[in-house]
Amino acid sequence: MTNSICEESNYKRAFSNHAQKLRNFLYYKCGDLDRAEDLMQEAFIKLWENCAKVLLDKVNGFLFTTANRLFLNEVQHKKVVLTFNKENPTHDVSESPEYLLEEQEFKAQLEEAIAALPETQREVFLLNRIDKLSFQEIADLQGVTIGAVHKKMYKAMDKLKSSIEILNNRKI
Amino acid sequence: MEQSENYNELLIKWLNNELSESERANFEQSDDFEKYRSIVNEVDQWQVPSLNMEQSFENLQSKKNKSKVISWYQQPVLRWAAVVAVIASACLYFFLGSGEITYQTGIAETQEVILPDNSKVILGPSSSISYRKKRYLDNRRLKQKGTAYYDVQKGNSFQVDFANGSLEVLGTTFEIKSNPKFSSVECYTGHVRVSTKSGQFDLTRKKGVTISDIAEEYDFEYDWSMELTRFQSTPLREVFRSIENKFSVTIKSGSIDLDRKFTGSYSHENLNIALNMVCKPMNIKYEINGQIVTLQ
Repeated sequence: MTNSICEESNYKRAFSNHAQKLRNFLYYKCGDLDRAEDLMQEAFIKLWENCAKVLLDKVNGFLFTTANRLFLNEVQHKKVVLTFNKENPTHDVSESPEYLLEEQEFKAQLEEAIAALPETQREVFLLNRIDKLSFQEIADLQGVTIGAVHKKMYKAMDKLKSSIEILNNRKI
Repeated sequence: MEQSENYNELLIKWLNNELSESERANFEQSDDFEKYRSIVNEVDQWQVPSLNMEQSFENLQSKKNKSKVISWYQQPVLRWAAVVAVIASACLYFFLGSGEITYQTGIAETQEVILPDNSKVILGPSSSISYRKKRYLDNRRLKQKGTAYYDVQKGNSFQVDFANGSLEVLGTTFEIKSNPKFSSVECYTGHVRVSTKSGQFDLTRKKGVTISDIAEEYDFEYDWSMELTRFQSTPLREVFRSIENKFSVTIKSGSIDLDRKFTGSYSHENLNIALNMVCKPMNIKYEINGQIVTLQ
């Protein structure tokens, strides 16, 4: 059959494969789930409008580049705030209330520290840890080398570790 | 504060779970290890609310359709082209007079057309073909929009003009999909020649060409949805029996005269299309209720 993204079934499959990742990527940029979904859909609309020009194996790159551009075109309103849910963590019943409170605080401060990271470092970190993308996959969708992605990752880790050091110092 | 390159490499490997035993022992001794570990253990448990795929896609479709209409209209070049096209087709209509025959299908319709030379065209949804009645037998030439499947009788030149190309038949069955931005031609049997601005393609069985900015030839597997069962002057009784077997349904014919002869075919793609192809030319209405079809 035809190998084009103009073909409805191919387009739908592209959506199934990439929509969630793309939306998460945009969420990490702006901290707003609804806005992330809107931008994601706009990127898919651009894909449809340009469907004759985009080869099937370039769809991923096109989507992420377009999403990035659409994001930059919009005015950046407020500071990025990111919050996450946890899968049911297994808690040992014997753990003290103080420990649990500390854990909550740690999570909140970590969320803040991640939101404070430079945008591309934040993306690399979250796409790798939360969306479980490999560094190569991240390199492909950011359009950079894997070396560049590694660098962003350890810089991100370094910054986060420092935020906790500060926190640790405060506790003293 | 700056870490050595080597350490950073280890960090990446650790994140990927790629450390050897000795490397790991080494890394776990480092001062910062505990901190990295607590960060990663925490974050690895986090989730983003999952996207409701069905709803999001539906949402996307309605946005998509809205924006398509708007952007077409707003592009100045296209707006002029559209004006010209409207005027041109209005002129054509007046000059050519009623010699031009057009068949047009609606959004959910398919239609089989028998041309004056007994060639058959099956029109897909939202598609049309047109030709000049008087000149047809001398010069078989059609214009097509949308999707159509052709079964061409042997004879003189048979040509179809579509959005970005034209096709000449060297005897046979084929399908053309014609859209302004993107067209394709697939040859099922025989031989067709397709002309595009990127050149000419001679297609034989199971070869197709996609046409957008450039034209590219490709191979494809036979599309079983285009499989047809054909009849020549066959009593409706047999035609309906054939459909019953094909789709595992029961057809209640009521007062329909089953001796009437039918010439044409039905598609194997689905029951609805098959019934449409047989009943419509015979002026029969049908209703599908699960496995039972009622005719009137």
